[in-house]
Amino acid sequence: MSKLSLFLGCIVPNRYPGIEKATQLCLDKLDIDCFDLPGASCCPAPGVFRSFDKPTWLALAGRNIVLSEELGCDVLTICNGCYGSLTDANHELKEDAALKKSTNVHLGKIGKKYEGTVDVRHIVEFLYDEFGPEKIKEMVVKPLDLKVALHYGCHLVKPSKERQLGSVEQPTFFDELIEATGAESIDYPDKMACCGAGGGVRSALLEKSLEMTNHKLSRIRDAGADCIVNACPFCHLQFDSGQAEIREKFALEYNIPVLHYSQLLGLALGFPPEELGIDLNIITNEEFFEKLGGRIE
Amino acid sequence: MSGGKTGVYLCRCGGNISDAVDVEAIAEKVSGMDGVAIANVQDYLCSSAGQGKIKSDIDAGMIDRVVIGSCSPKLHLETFRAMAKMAGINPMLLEITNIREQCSWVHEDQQEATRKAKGLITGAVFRMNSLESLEPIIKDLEDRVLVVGGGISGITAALEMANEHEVILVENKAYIGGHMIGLSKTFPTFDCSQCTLTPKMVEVFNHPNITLYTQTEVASVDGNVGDFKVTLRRMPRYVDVDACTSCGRCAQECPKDAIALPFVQAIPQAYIIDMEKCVECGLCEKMCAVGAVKLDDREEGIEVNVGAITIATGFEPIDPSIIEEYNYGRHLDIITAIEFEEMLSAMSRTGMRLQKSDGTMPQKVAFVLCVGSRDFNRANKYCSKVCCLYSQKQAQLVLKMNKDADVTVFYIDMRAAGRRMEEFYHHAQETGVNFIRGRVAEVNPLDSGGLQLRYEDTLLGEIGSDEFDMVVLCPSLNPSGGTQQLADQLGVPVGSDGFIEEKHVKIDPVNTLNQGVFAAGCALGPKDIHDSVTEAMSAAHKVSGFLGKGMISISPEKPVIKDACDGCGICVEECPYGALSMDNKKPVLEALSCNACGICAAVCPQEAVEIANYTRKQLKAQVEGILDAGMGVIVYIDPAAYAAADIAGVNRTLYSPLIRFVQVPSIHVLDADIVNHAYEHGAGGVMLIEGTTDEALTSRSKDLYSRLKKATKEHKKPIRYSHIETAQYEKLMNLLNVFAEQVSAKAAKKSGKKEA
Repeated sequence: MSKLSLFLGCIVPNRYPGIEKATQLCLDKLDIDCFDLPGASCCPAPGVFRSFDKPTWLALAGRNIVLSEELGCDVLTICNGCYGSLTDANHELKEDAALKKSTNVHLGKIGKKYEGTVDVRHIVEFLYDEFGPEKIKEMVVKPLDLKVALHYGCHLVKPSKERQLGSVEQPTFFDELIEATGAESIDYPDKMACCGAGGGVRSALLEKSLEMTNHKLSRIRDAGADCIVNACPFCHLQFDSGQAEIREKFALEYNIPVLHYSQLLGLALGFPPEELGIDLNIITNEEFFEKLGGRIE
Repeated sequence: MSGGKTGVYLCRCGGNISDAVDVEAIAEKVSGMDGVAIANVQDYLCSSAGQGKIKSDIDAGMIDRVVIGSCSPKLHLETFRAMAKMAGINPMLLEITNIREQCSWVHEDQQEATRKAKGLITGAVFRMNSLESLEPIIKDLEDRVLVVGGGISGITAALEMANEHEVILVENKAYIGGHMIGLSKTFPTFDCSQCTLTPKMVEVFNHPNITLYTQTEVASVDGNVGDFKVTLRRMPRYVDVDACTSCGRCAQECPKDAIALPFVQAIPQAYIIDMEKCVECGLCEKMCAVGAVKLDDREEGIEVNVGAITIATGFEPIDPSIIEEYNYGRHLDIITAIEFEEMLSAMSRTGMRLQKSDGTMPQKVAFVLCVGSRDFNRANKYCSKVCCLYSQKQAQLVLKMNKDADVTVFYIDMRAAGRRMEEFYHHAQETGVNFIRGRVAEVNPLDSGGLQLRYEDTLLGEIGSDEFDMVVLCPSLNPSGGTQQLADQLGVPVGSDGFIEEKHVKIDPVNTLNQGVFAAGCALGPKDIHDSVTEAMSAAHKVSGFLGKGMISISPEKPVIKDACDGCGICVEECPYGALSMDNKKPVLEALSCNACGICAAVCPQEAVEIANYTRKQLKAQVEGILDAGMGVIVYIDPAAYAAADIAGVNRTLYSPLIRFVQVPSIHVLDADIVNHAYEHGAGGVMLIEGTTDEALTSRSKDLYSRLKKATKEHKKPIRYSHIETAQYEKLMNLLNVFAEQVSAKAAKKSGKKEA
């Protein structure tokens, strides 16, 4: 397997460093050669930048991709938003010669040139593709006895024509990766609905976004899940901090732990919860921790 | 010169021409030209006096070629040619120059109009001097027609033709009736579908001139128009259709329920064995009193010879699973409108009762329109035309069977076009059907067994969520698999939507782009029964007209291979219609496949291919004659675009008198040599106007234009290519005017420079 550059994005380093740690541990254990992409900036956030100014979005995204191109590596993301932003930009620049040319005019001013020689990967589809659930299962040291409410999020599977990851309404690849850890991926109504954060909604209409999150949380609770697993730090933030905000604004209590897939996988690969930063979440659930055999500091 | 004697006849057209064009002056000028024996002006050339004059001149031996200056050849060319033939001269040696629709009616400046007409007539004379006598190619037609598809369109066409011609009707199912036999009542009259159709099906079966093959499809097509050699493939039925009396004893005995009628009213009324269930015990064969059961039946190839083919292969509904969020296939009470209708039709398996999967009557039904139609993202862009109306009908049927039912139709737009339809819609609303304007977002099967619909009610501006016990999806109508297959076998173009392309969308709608192949019904696009029947009758009429002559005559203006040919084979490769093939190192023409586009002539490196009567020499001569009257803009125009220029004339749309049209079979016959020659002889600019919609040609036009532009650069005069639809005569006129202005401006600049 060739080297990959790891694109961390913004939310993980700034808000949920535990996910970064968990990712590093998993990548090590799986023997994936990966290094932090030096000089990486905000992807830029797809919902906001792409809506406001396409050339800006393409230039910033293009720059991030070029940093990896120069090192001859594909880009590995751990966030739906970064994945969406970088993959879509990569696709557009590869397909549209005029956009590539105009973007390179901007990049030229900082001495960079986009060639279109690398791909952008998301850790979930990357693991599914390069390893497959069977291989992951073999590496599992501690099979998890958990009921997981899986949240695919939006940018992982859409736009469907570009992603080519199969069904958009009833995908299964992420569920298979969950089941590979021993956990059960439960079905619940509106599983494929948006968490509410993206597209600028959390920034501009916080309460509206929380209403959407609340809808999902109530379905997840009713389905009897032990935790929520996501592939996106923004969804992670929305579900985690969101529960605290919902408690404050709507007076509703959920207390459902939220994990990024790297954290779930880390647990299954034998790492204790503290090492994976699970205790750094806003929502801490003692029962859950006990189930995992960990302690809260 | 030809040594021939050309007669030039100009028509005043009762003033229509002579008011703007000085025909006398032109006649005078022309009478002095080489090869011109007579130059004559008449008031009405098309009158018996006018025609009589020409005929008597021919009879007297004074002329053996005719140039006419009059209205558009589209009006009287055939008439004049018939007259010439009768008088004993080859009809190809009579041509008409359009000085009315394309001259006197569209130019204000009389002097310029006369100058233009003078040039056009001169050009016509130069051209006429070098034309050849050509004989049309005659072919005998096989007086038999193949109709592919046994639905309402195929059945109607077959019956319309069967009294005059032998008809072979082929259907790939075990029964005829297509989709119509699977309908209950039809809109807008609630006529019973079976009652309308069954008598026709029986008529087809009994008609002495119709040979019906069911379980059969077309395996391959060879030969050519007028003489198609079609191989059919019949799949085994294991029962002799003619012998079976449908007594049913075989079914009574069968231990596996493997032998049955497709359904009670099926035509042919014969049993069929489902080999998946059959254990070949032979009981049915023993029981059959007439020996109709044939367990040794095998796939059979049947060869037929036909003169014409009618495509009536219909539609098939899209698989709604493509719209994942409607969860079709995940709940037994999410059904398609076709399945709904079948329950109430002759093909019903529920005893013609409307029921849910549990056998009970539905109480709350939702109809979801546009499933896969009007969908630019995933499925078909087009509207399937019939669903708005049939959903209104089906909704009313639910209420008829359960007056307390709650029925809602979810729509984007309610389309009820045409006679009696809006009234039908109005009535549906009066009977209590609910209509909600909003695309259904999701159909979710609930654990409770019900079906939750999420939708936006756009008229109320609210998000709605409602539970139903039956959801009927109205699927988009795709061209059937058989349509694409047959189109491939025949080489008939289909549109990007998969439907058969009509010869002309407006004025030749049941003809295909292939001579001798016609089409009717949903193979041409979604439509209702009325329109399918209308098209089938039209197609039958066209087939009859085509076969009725007993022969077809093909225009002799086809490529001719000259001695300079070195057998390089480039023309064979480049021909978009496969009309040329190599035989013994020389190209051989299959005239019936040839479209006379001229590509072979233009690509030949030895200039060894010429289109008869559109040779290089003739095209150049014509232009020389036209420009003899002074500077003008040469506009090479194909027949489809020529028609647009005529429409402009009829509408008296004014445009620049610098424009001089030169009709060519297609603009692809042109090459740098011909166009450069035009510039060298005084063309101020050259335009190529293409009106054909044949993609085999239009896909090459961009390249042709760039090549010509490059090759004529040295003249530094404008050249332009445009494509227009025949209806777009205004667009054409604008293009011509703009270009003519450019040419004038450039010419003025040049002459200004010269003076300086």
